[in-house]
Amino acid sequence: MTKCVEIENLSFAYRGNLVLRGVNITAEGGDFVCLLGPSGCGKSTLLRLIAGLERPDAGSILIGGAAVSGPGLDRGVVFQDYSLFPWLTAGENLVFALEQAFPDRRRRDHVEDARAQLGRVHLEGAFDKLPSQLSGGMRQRVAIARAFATDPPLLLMDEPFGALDAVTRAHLQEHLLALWQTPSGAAKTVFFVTHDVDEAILLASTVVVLGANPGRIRGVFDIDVARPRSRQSIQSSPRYLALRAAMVDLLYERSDDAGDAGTPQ
Amino acid sequence: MSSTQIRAGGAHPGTRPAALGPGRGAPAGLHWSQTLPAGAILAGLLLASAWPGSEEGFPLYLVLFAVGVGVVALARWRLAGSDVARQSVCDVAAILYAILLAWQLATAHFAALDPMLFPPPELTLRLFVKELPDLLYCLRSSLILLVSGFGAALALSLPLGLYVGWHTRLHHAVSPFTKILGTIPPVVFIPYIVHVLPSFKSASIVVIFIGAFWPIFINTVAGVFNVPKGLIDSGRVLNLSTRKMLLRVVLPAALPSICTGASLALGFSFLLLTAAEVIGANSGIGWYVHYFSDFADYHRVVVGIIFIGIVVVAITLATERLERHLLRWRS
Ligand SMILES: Nc1ncnc2c1ncn2[C@@H]1O[C@H](COP(=O)(O)OP(=O)(O)OP(=O)(O)O)[C@@H](O)[C@H]1O
Ligand SMILES: [Mg+2]
Repeated sequence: MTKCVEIENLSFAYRGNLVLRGVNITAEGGDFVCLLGPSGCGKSTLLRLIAGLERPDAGSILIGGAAVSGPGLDRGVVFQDYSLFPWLTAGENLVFALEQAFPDRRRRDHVEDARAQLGRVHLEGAFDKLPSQLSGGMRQRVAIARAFATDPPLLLMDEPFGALDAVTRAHLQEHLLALWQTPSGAAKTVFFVTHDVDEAILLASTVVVLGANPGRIRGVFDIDVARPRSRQSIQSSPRYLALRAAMVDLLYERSDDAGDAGTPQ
Repeated sequence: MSSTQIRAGGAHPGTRPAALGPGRGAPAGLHWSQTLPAGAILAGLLLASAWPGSEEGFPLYLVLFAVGVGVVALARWRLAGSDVARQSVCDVAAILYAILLAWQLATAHFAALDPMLFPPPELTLRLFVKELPDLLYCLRSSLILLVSGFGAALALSLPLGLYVGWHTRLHHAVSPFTKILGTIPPVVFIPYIVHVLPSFKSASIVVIFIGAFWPIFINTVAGVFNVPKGLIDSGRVLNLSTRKMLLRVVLPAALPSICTGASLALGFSFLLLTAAEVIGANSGIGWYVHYFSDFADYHRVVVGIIFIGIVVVAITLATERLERHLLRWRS
């Protein structure tokens, strides 16, 4: 397996306000990494750093061996909101991204491709709908379809299902896993931000638990539960319960009391 | 259409696309009773017209106009998409008829108003038709000034506003100047510019330009500055060039604010146009009103005012429609 993402000793501050300190994460091609942590611990910031939207103050981020110098089409990003351009229809949002990624192809091919991608998230009928005419769950499916459409090796998702109800959320988790596991998507590496322990265990191959003040890694868990994982069967497995208990412990332990000493890496 | 569409099947019942097409059934509130108030006032108006009032005789133009309004209103009432729209068509027609009736009664029948200052509707309509070629000619010269001044302001202030709004440092450097220059009422420039520039035409174009420039510029800059950061991040992760970012993300995102500025600017332009025409023109709709009031020809003044009103309403409706079209993506 190739090293896809190597984050070494990463630190970042917003105007002198330390947000992330000494973060080390290594992900291999095809890993599904969930970043789990309390609100304000710097999950979004970490993702923005990987996306190239912010510059590290110390340490480095390598993607495929090369240092990140800014945003790029080798990384598809899905934000919690604002991912789609509201003045473009769902289809045009995909076409716009496709034009950016493959400027040499003809527009007709982009339109066809966009239709096919929307079909993969069961939204072929939404091609001509504006984002404001779609439900929140549909919008996020379009955003995910757009991220997959340009076929980037690395996907960055910042709480893409955070604003959705439980049922829609469960559907979208399945959609996402289906896309990730398809032959064309199997090699994709995913960084997925969440503060939901169950979501992390259901999706991830690796869960990185972050603590706050400043944001740092408190634990890394390999989720060695067989796929396909179903919400029902997984919850009775002893391995799941053990992982869950360990993560919940880390999450609810008052992280600012933990101080500098003994941060697990 | 693409032949590669993949059918969803029944696997996701909650997420299937809703049925397309308007699917509008029979209009719900299409009751003739809605037209009754307007109809009653129209009947009163026709009755008043038939009544021998003044020496003018039978007011043919008034009757034709009233009936014409009725036909248009009836057509719009039948075709209106919603109950609210239908009701308002009837209400508007009723109010228009009430105004005509009151005007007719006050002038032609009871001579309550000075006929020099307040011509009866029949006379006004007849004069309007007679003056229409002249009025249209005036409108043409006014529109040339308006379109030149406003168009130049739009063409310059929009790209400039985008650029300045996008470059934060430039924005901060320029904002004290825009705050001062933008708040000077453009009317005060008129006498100065009319003297500085060689022709009335160039002077009024420049005055309109100044009046229209600042509202568009200031609103464009503000619009760009207030574009949600998330949208810009979405553009950045697509690796957009600055040019594409400005044209395809920042411009559409700032468009609501730009539209506000542009309609403000258009209102200013019209005001400045008529003000400038009063000062130094020899044609134009503002000039028309001013010219005939100098001759105390108040009948033509009234006709000119009504004409200007119609023009302003038409321009406002057109720009509102354009704005709705441009911003149709806003829910
Ligand atoms: N643009 C910014 N300017 C200044 N400080 C910021 C900015 N964005 C985030 N921060 C700070 O950085 C810290 C981490 O923020 P971040 O958004 O990464 O947290 P998060 O883990 O994503 O939280 P949440 O789960 O609520 O989304 C917070 O303390 C926040 O106040
Ligand atoms: Mg966040």
